[in-house]
Amino acid sequence: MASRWPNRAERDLRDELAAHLDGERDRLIAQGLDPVEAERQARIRFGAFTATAEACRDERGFPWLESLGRDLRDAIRLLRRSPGFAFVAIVSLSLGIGANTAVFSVFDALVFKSLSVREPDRLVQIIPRPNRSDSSYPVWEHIRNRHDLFDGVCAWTQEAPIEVGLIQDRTLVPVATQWVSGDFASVLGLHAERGRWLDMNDEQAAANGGAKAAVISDAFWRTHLGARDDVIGSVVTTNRFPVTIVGIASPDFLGMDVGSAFDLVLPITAAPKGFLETRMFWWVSVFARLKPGQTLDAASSALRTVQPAIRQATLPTELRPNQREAYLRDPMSIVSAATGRSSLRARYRDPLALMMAGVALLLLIACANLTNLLLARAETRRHEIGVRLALGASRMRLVRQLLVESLLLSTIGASAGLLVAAWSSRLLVSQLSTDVARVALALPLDWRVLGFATLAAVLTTLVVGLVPAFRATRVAPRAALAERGRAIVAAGGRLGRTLVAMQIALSFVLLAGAGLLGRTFLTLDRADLGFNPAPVLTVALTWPPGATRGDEASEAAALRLILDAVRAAPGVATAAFADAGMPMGMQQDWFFENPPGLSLPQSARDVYLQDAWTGWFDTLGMHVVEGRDFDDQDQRQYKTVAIVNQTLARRFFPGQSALGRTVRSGPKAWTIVGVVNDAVHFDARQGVAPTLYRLLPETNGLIVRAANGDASSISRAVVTAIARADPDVLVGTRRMADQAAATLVRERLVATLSSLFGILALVLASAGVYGVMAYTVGRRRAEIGIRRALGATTPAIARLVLRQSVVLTAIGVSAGAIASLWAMRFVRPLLYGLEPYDATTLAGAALVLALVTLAASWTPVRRAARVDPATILRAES
Amino acid sequence: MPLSLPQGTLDLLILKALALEPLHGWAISDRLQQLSSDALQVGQGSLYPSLHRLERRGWLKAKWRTTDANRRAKYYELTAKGRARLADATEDWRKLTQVVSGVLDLT
Repeated sequence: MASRWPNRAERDLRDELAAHLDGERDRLIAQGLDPVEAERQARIRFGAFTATAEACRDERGFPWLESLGRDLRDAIRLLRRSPGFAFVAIVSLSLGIGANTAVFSVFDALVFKSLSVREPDRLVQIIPRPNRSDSSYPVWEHIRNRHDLFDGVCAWTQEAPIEVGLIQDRTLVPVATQWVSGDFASVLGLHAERGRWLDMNDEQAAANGGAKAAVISDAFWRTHLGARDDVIGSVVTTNRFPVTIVGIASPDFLGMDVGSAFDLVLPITAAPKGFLETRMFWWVSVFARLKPGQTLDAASSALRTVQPAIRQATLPTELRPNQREAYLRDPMSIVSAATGRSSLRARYRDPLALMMAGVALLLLIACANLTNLLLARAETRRHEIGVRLALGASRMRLVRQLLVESLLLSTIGASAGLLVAAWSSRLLVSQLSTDVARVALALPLDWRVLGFATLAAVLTTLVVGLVPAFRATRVAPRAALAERGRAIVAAGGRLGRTLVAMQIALSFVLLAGAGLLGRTFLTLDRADLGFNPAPVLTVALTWPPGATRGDEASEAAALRLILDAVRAAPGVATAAFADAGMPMGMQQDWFFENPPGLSLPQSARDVYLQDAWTGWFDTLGMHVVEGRDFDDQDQRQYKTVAIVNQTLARRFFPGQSALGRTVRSGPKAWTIVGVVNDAVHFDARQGVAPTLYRLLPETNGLIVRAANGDASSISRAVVTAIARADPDVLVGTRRMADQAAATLVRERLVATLSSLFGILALVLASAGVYGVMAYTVGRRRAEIGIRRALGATTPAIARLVLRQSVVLTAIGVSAGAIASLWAMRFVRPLLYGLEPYDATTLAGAALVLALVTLAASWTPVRRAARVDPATILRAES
Repeated sequence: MPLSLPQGTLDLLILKALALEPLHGWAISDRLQQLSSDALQVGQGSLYPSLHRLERRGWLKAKWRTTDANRRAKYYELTAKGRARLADATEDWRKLTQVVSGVLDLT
């Protein structure tokens, strides 16, 4: 009992009440009663000892807090007494809450979180034209010259006009570069971890062809520069120019584009002069800081008053008359930039919202299991609770105590969940990164994440604990006492079954979603691309600054020498020139003119242009279906011949051969010499567009096909061959398959996560089915024993028990199917090649669930079938 | 038949019982029973919570002493605040009973 009276106040209270009893007893003895009877009478007169003590406690300073502390101690003791239950409960809650917190923190970081800059709420982005978020450099210069519009403006871009690579040990390390104006740091209020940020002097120096100052990211400093202390002031060599490092950005600033990591920040004036002067290239994001109290509307109208002058001064002369008019007329506008801009956000907001719904369902399924466990526990504690009620404990008091137990479980679960979340959210973000684009998101354990986890824990407590607590205390004390701790009457049975049916229904929804998304991924992954990326290696060639390359002709000759060397390298089947990053990378599309005799709508004449070379189709595993491949003869007149894909041939020349025909776009015209099979060059989801392959001159990129089909196996041989042909050149290689896979990252991630959710849901639901079946069998042992004694056969008993499992599954699956019909509409935007109501998938989900629930009922059913009537009847008598 | 006490009256009676000398809980209930010639029986379920409440409000203070029977007991005594409260409450009670009886005697 010692622990029930843990502190002095409690001891005093007990002594005080005991003293009263003694006083009463002594008086009764004095009146002539014998001591035993006097003691009895005294106790009867006193009434409920615990209830009085309880009422006294409530009168003291912080009754609520104090009794909470006591309840907590009781709860800890009870949980330690049943470690199995505590373990299962805490593990499932920490996984459930952890997964929810993880997805939330990623979603929050990507969608809601403000940039880590000074007063992000006053930060806006200037949208120069509808549907165009970037300006030309001259427009930016004009906006900057209007000092009175805002509290400061700055320019930022990562639309790399040129690619910058770091030269280390004769290899080219690509670096993610951001370009900023000199006032970027001062307008945003950025701090450097070491050294300083870029300023206007750096912008000036770079503009005048002087030294190029740069700020590097903390991550880049650690991963690429060995976290050296002497890095400030040091000069690093890039493929473009030497760069002087003047500072390291503070680690919490991850750039203006939420999600995309950066390595290097350069003054925007370090970009080639042509980019700074042209009025046709839209690549600069202009950010502004509103004046205190200035509204978006006020800033917009202020901007529009100066718009005509800016437009007139920056009008691109290349535009046709109607385009000029639009350029002068289109209104500038302003949007809040508190959360930055993000291409990642656009791609992942919906999938992540869907994943949040998925993990929430998962938590709900886990909660149902816990509720069932608590109900079962409440059953076994009926006797205890009955005794306490009989001793005068109030029902609310007991409910509170039971809820404290649930609260304790969910608090421990949530704390462990935060660890799970910290780890898994980073894992999730790392899965978003590709070979091509690295993803960085700030995932601090801040009040938002903590708040979410707390909320999840509290909700879980209520969802899990409330019903069992009320049911457990809905006991007639006498009935409970009469049972002497044997739980026979079970009101929890029906509720438990309902919960399990709900679990099955929710699992069905998750499984159906997983099935649809998984099949989408497989469809896209296995889609016939029309070419085979697996054996292909892409090679990027870069000359360091200062390497002599002579005129254009000798450069072409040098490149051809390299191509010949690669073609002769061991293990190489074929090779061809290809623009770096091609063919899965950037493309152009042009509107072509109507072929003679046809009037296609403009959208049907949107043709993709792709640069090719002799051997290009062979290398990619494409084949010429009509006509011929490019040959050496073509290479001398490359501007006039072209090869088209089947889609273009069919659309532009239906029912006839495209060979020898001419296609035009503006002043350009090509004669078709061959037709190749359709191939997907960008994204399997977008399918095949009409494509025209043209010959372009030698370029500093190659694609190489391995004879044995394994691209990595030839990498070393290719690099060696190139070094032998041209000792100056820097070589970067990549497997084309990696690039192809990068286009499916989102699909892969969504499919993986939803499958994981589906599997977890199955595990949880089968645990639920097992629990409720085992419970039923345990309860019906007596009945089963009697039935056996009366001659029921083993199969009959098995059928009897199994019927419940089958009914539960049928109800759950039907409810789940109905819910899926509604829920799957949200999945639709992510699907490819199948409908949300895909019958095969839904039937598959139903079948899997049926099998799993049957398997989960197996042990309880067998136990029922083995019931020995003699034992049972003896125990019951 | 013991009388049941209107709300709040118990507090007043406790203060009155303690006006003479400090007492412990059982003695208070005993005293009240004596003073009322057994008409009042104060249940411990309300006596002790009341004592704790009055103590928290600063009208009573408690000390642990040894009783005549050599047993540890908690003695309550009136504070200055408690004495003032007793005076006020007694006055209120008189007025109230007067008014209430006046109304009842009208019929």
